[in-house]
Amino acid sequence: MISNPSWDKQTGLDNDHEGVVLLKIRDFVYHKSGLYFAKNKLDSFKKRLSIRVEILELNSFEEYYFYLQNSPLGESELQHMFDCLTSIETCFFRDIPQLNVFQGQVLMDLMNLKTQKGQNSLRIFSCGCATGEEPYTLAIIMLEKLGHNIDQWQIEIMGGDISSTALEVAQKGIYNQYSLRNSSKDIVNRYFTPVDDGNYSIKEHVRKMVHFSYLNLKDESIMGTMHSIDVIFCRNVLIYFSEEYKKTVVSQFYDINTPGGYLLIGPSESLFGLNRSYKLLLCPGALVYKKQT
Amino acid sequence: MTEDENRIIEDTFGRIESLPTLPSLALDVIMLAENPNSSLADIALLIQKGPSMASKILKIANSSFYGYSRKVNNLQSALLILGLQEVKNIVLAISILNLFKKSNKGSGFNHELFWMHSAGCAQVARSLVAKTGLFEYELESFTIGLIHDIGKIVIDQFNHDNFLKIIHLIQQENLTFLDAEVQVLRVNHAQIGSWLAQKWLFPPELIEAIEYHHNPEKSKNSQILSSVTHIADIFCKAKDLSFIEEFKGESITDNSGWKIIQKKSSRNNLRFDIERFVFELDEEIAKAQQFISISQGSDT
Ligand SMILES: C[S@@+](CC[C@H](N)C(=O)[O-])C[C@H]1O[C@@H](n2cnc3c(N)ncnc32)[C@H](O)[C@@H]1O
Ligand SMILES: [Fe+2]
Ligand SMILES: [Fe+2]
Repeated sequence: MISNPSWDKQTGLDNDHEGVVLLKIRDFVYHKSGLYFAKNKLDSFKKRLSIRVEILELNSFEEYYFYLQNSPLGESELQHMFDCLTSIETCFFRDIPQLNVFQGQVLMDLMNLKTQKGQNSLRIFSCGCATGEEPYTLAIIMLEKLGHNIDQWQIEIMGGDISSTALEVAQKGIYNQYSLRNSSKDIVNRYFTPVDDGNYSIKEHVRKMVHFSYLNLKDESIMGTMHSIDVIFCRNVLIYFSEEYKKTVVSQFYDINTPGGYLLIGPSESLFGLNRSYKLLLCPGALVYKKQT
Repeated sequence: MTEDENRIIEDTFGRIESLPTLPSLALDVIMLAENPNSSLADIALLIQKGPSMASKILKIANSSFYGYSRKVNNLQSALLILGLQEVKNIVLAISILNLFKKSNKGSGFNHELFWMHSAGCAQVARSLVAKTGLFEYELESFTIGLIHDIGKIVIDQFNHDNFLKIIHLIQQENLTFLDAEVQVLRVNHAQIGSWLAQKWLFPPELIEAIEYHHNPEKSKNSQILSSVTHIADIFCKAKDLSFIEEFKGESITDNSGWKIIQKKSSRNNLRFDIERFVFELDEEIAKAQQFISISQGSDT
């Protein structure tokens, strides 16, 4: 007497054929990317996928599913599909529950650990930082959390991305209001200066905390130079890689993480089947991965 | 629970006359459900004695909680579709929810959050046993999820000063609920809850599962149910569905309760996809919410 799924009523898919195919594609996406669309997100999943179906001039999701699996272009279609399913865009304070866990559990734990060891360094790495909102957000959170005590810590925040145009924007540190839609007035006032055209420039003391550099996660010679990272943020990036490559990248992350350090990924992403070493921790509102101490 | 602990609970709560008793309807339904000779007709007769019970059962049967496509029009067909055990669960849930309905705002006890956490645990526990192939525990796991923290309400309503002390300790000294209540009362809500369940003549496996829902490895006769509740509790807290913020983050795979479930499970749990399970919880929790609002709904 297991309860039946109730989503079909909400989405109007009513157990029909299309609904079944969409679920198959959903599972296929999860298998290929670790990106998961819960049943209450299936509407948006469908909308985003139909963009691809239209562009390819296919007639149904079933044809699309077939195309994905069997077309010689299926592999490259995967990339296009992921692009459609995730948004390339980023913003300040993008995922509040995860950031709460970062400033609560994660930073508290690391600071205790460091204090015990008589160390005062904290190194944070934002992989795939795009136009810089993510690492700047982390800098602002540290400033907010530590207040005056920030001088007692040696904080390094690094942002890396494969897109040099994105990195240029990051370096400039000028953002429009849309980028700041999740940020409170208070935060904007304290950490930004208004510039022309309703844009905002990040203040110098925050900019100084973040260092940007070119990064290709697939390039082991770059990854090989990284070390002793306490927290790795890698949100909405792994989805672009093949299963095999994701495994390699995750194990590289493990190598560059300090013992007791953390890896944080996107909210609908999963390392299931990719990860042998990290420990999954359930925190209030977010999942995090921790390296053994 | 030791004799000492039992005595502390008796001394603190045993003489309280206003301590809620389970409505006789609920008790009768439980007894009926345990009796292999009882029929659906017997239970229908019983339920119709309670004024709002039948209509609530109908509402629940028609809600997306069950997701039946056809409308369930009367109590008889609801009973047929849901079955005796499921109906027992609903009756129990409705009775208990309405026993402790009163909300004392500003007292530190948020009833809405409390029942959301409890119903969330119920639904997650049930989903967990289904996904791990422990089907024989499905119905009980829902019940136990719903009442596992009942001891907390008892503390709040009948020993309120100490309840406030506990909250204060959690907030000021960063203690867990368990540590704080043991410091204040020398017993915890799990023990108090199981003491109450005993008074209410609950089946022994439920009484024991309430007692050990925070340390399932210590349970002798109800290890699976205690473990399932324990793990469901952690999953709910990971979804920010906690009653009082004191959860700091936990690994499932290291958990003794998880290991017990794994050992017993007929499935290969090494492949249990915890991440995916967490993602899917949103739906389970939405269902639980619905269950609560119907059960607590006005008596129409
Ligand atoms: C969707 S954005 C994520 C932005 C940010 N992390 C967030 O979650 O808001 C993905 C970023 O990953 C970058 N990226 C893709 N492949 C990469 C690679 N191999 N190495 C480094 N960055 C990569 C892209 O350039 C893009 O800026
Ligand atoms: Fe509890
Ligand atoms: Fe609980």
